Amino acid sequence: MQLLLALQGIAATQAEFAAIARTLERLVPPVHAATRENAS
Amino acid sequence: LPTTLVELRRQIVAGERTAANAIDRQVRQLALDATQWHSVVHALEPAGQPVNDEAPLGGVGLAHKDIFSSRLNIPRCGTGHQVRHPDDTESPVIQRLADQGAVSLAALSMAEFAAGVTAENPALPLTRNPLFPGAMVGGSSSGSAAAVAAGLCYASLGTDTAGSVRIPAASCGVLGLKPTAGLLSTRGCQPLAPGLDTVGVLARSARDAAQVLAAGLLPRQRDMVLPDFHLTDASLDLRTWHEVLGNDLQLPDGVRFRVCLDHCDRKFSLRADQHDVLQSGLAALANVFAVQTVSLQQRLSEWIRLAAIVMHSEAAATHYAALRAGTGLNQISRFTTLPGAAIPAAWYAQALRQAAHCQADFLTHCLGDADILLTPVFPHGVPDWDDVLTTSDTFKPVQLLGLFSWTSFVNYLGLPAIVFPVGTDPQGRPVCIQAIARPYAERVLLGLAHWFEMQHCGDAGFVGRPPALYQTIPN
Repeated sequence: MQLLLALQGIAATQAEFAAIARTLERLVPPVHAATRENAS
Repeated sequence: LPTTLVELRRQIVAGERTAANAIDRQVRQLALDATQWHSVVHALEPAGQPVNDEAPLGGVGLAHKDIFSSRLNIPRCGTGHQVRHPDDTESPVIQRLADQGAVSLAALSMAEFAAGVTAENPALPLTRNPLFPGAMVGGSSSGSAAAVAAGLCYASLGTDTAGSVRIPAASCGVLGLKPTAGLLSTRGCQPLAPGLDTVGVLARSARDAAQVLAAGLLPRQRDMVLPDFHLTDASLDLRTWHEVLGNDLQLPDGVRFRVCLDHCDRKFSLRADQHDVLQSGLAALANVFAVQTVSLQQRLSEWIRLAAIVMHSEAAATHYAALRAGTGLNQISRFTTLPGAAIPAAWYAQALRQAAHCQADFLTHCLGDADILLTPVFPHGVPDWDDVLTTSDTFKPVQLLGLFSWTSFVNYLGLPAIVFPVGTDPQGRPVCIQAIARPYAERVLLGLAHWFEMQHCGDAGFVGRPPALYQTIPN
């Protein structure tokens, strides 16, 4: 995610990275969440 | 002045007062705002706006969210500077209202770039709730709700991307209508997430909102043929918008309701006192109409997720240059837009692809043979300002998230929805209900609001004594 934002020329603070990560976590499609659970 | 637009027009038509007299009083009332509510960003020049007793909205003062471009106003969109619309167009809705005699009194406060669910905006004084001291004012159309509740204008246009008309309206105890996507043109209105942005109406009464909605439609829309109520009804009655909104808003027998009070996320479970007030309102409805309980659960969770993906992605695209520059957005707008720059394009494409399917699923399985789905608006009631101000020592994030927990999915589904008060909680704050209907069924929503209004409030509308109408105006 940091690389993705850097590639777009968007700088974010560590606190913002953490906030974005929390938002993305909530938005993960359900099937991906199931896959991730299986993988772990 | 009377409390409702409809009564004001009756008085002008009957010759009991003139439009010029009514506008003069409304212009002078604006002076009350600066020391009490902070809903006005700046007043607009009344000179040059025609005042005509015969025009359908002659004598009616309106004031709108400072997001619409018009010949009178280059909006500031909650920033400290003027923001030119990307296409440099003016709002045809504002122009239609002016063509029908309404006077634009002021540009009203808002969250920066409409990217917030409260009035919090470091560039502006904090908007105060005119009727419920200490209670927050929702956003992003915060000035619209406060000005309507205070009685500074008869109605106001706002915009709603995830609840930005309904949330402020519900916080101030007034009516907020988010029409079907695209019904009121979004041209000339600064975008946030264009796939979700909807122009809506805030007013103190359902009949007033109907008048403003009808006036804001383009001529070709007014002649559009609409089904009346049940799409499943064999005796389908087809009428035009012009006929529908020009008529009495009486709710006919046989309208069917479904109710869902349980949120899929336990953080947003309904507080007991809110539950009791809503149940009391629903019991009154069930005495007259068929009301059936329905569960949304996993569907609701999925719609909320998809709505957030579209909102963040499109908001990031809208403000991409500012995100890259690292300047030009306050912290709240930046937090709303930034995740969109990191959301995978495939998620966004998938969310768009599923929208039509989700709407069909809602209509078939959640609404079924009913006309309206009823839900709460605020699961925890209207919070104190200190609970939802992000700079407050007692900031409670769950309270802030709860504000749009029942509203954002409606924009994703593209459906019309209305909020209005059905009672007050033990703190004396309004408890509002949300009604959601089929596309272009605004009349049934306004009819329901009118029914509650007549049951609980009478002809004065949802706000019996708007303070500005009862205060002495300073010279």
